Amino acid sequence: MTVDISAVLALVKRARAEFSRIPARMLNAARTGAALARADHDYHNRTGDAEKSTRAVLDRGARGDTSVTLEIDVPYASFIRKSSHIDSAAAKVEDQIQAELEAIAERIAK
Amino acid sequence: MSAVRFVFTQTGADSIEGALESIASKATGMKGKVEGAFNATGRAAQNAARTTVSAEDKRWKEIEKTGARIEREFARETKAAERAAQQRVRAEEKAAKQIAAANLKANQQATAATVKRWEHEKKLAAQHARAAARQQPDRPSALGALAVGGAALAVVGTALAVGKQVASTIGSAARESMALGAMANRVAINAGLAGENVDAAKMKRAFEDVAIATPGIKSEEVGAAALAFQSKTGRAADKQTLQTLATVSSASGSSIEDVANASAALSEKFDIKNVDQLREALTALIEQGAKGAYELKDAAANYDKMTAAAQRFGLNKGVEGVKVLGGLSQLARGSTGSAEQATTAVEASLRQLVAKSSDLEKDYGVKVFSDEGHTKTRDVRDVLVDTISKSKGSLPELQKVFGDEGIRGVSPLITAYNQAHNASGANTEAGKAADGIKALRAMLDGAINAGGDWSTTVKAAAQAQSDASGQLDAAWEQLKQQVGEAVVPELIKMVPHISRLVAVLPPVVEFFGKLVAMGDALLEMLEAAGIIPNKKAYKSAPKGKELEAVNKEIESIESNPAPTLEDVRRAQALRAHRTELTADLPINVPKAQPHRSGFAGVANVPATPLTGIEAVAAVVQTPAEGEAAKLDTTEAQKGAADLARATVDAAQAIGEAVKDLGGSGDDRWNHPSITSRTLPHTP
Repeated sequence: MTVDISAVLALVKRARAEFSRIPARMLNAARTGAALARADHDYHNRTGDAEKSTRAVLDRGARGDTSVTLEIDVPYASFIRKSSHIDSAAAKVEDQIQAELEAIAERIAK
Repeated sequence: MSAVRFVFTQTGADSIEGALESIASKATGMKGKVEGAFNATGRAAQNAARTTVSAEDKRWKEIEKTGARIEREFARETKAAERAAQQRVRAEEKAAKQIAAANLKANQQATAATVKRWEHEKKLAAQHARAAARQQPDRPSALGALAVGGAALAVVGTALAVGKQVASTIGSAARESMALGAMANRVAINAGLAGENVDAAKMKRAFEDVAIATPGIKSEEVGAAALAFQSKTGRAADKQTLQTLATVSSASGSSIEDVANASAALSEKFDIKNVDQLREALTALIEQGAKGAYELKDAAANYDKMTAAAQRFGLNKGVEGVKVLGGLSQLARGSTGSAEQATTAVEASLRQLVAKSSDLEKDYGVKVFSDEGHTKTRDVRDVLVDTISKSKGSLPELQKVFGDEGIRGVSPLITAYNQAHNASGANTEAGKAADGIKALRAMLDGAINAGGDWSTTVKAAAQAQSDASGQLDAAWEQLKQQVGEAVVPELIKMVPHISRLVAVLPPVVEFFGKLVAMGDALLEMLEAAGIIPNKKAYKSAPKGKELEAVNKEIESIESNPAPTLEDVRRAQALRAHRTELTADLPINVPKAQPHRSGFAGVANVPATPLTGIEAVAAVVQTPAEGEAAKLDTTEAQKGAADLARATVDAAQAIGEAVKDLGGSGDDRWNHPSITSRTLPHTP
């Protein structure tokens, strides 16, 4: 008698490959959001600091958690939040990440 | 003043990877364990074969009980059959002597037939002796008797093979049982259309009972025979009729469907009214086939058109008509190259007798019809004797009467007449003709009245059924019947669940199918793992409704994109309460999970102990196998159950994780649905 577990092993291999792509996919979504925020804002870009500090940062946390941060890293960022349209960009980032994760889930379960 | 940051975090990917690794490692480990256990089973069975006769399980005992009952009936019937056989042999010897005086060739044929009959009786007597030996109280089991007889390894090897088959193909049994149910349903539907009232469940049971009582015959074959019989007669065969067909099939070696077709033709064309008449008619055909060369299977294939010709001729109805037609077929088969040619020859000879009736009367004074209106024919035997004798056995003359095709059907009779006529010691032509007629009638009687009764057929069937493969077939049929009753309804209920599960986790499900291959065990495992909700248990649980309400409220709070602090505290309290509730339920419902985003709570799931797995091992029993083998099989089953449990664990984990991962899935996964809702982070 032979027990065929090749399909299970293939599932594991496929899932492992998909999980390894999660950080890149999340960072890519955040970078897209940052580029959007840099390209479309209502504040005056007098020093260029706010626009330059609008960016995406990847952070691999403990337990293998993955975080990406979309930020405007200037002290007065809270004052230009509304005119930066950063909230709109963040919502799009979240949607894109969700879409990426759904795609990963589907590929694993296929 | 501060910076603005939005942090998107996915947690738990490692947990999923851990779950997957858990699957891989457990599957790999258990693969070795299961394979090793099954191999050990094989070794144990071989050892058992060498050292001792293994005990039989309940199913074998049940089969043996049935077999013993049948054997007792056979014993009673055997005595009567032996007396009849002695009388028959004496009559055949007498007939053989008469024929020998007139026809040397016919004598040789009759002697050969007698020897064949003696051999047949001898085999039956030996069979009866073996059957009687098996009925001794201290006898070993049927399996054991065979083993002691020197076939130990082979038989146990076969039993082991069947054991493996049973262990690994309960699902197959279930599928076959469902197919059988469909057949029974079709018979019931057809019967309904014809105004009959047939219960499909009882019909299915009849198929199975007949198959169990007739080792070597499969229940699907019985079902096919029932459909064939019904399609030709418009009537649903009852259990007694099906049992008769199966016994005849077993005794004659013809397929039961062929027997059903022949029986249907006989029933319709010869007005065979009841089972007793059917048995008598079929026995006559078997006996005729045993003496001649036109066997029952030939009759099954050709009786449709031949019975139509017989009906047109006006051959007698009832069993007598069947015997006459069978006898004519045997004679025709002796002078033709095939059963089909013999059929055509008989058809043609009967047709020509009617077509040439006027010429026969005018030229030879032979009356084909018994009345002036030519509506009723005389006994075909008398017509044939008159035609041949009054034409003085002239081949050219008879060729004109019977034609090219028909002459082949009666040529053995013509030859017998001429040989007896020529060898006659009578001084007159009338005396020679009388000897010729005597030989003619002897040949006709020998072919038509071949002897034998139903007990002869039953004995022949018993002999055919006594071989090991027939017995194993019966065991399989019995298992299938039991699986059909116990598992099929559950499998039918499972279908929608399985299809949904397949959509989510095909590899794992496929793995289940390959590994476990057991319908009801799979169901229980899936239920135990909470993958398929055990609705009955759930609803019957006293706290089930409360749990449902708690789940709904938790979902309501968690679906709120901006929960208040009070909401969060309420949710925490509800989750704690849910944990208490689920601990009391007889099913494995989703456990409370920490509120995390992304792959929430996945890491805990594989470690969650499952309930009801012990029951799984009890469900998976291996019938038809010896004790020693069964012990090791149990170990193998435990291994399979362990592996299945590990896989279910991991499958559940993956299923929930995949659902959370994409926010997709369906409401079957009735657990906290945590979406990754990220709020602006302002330091």
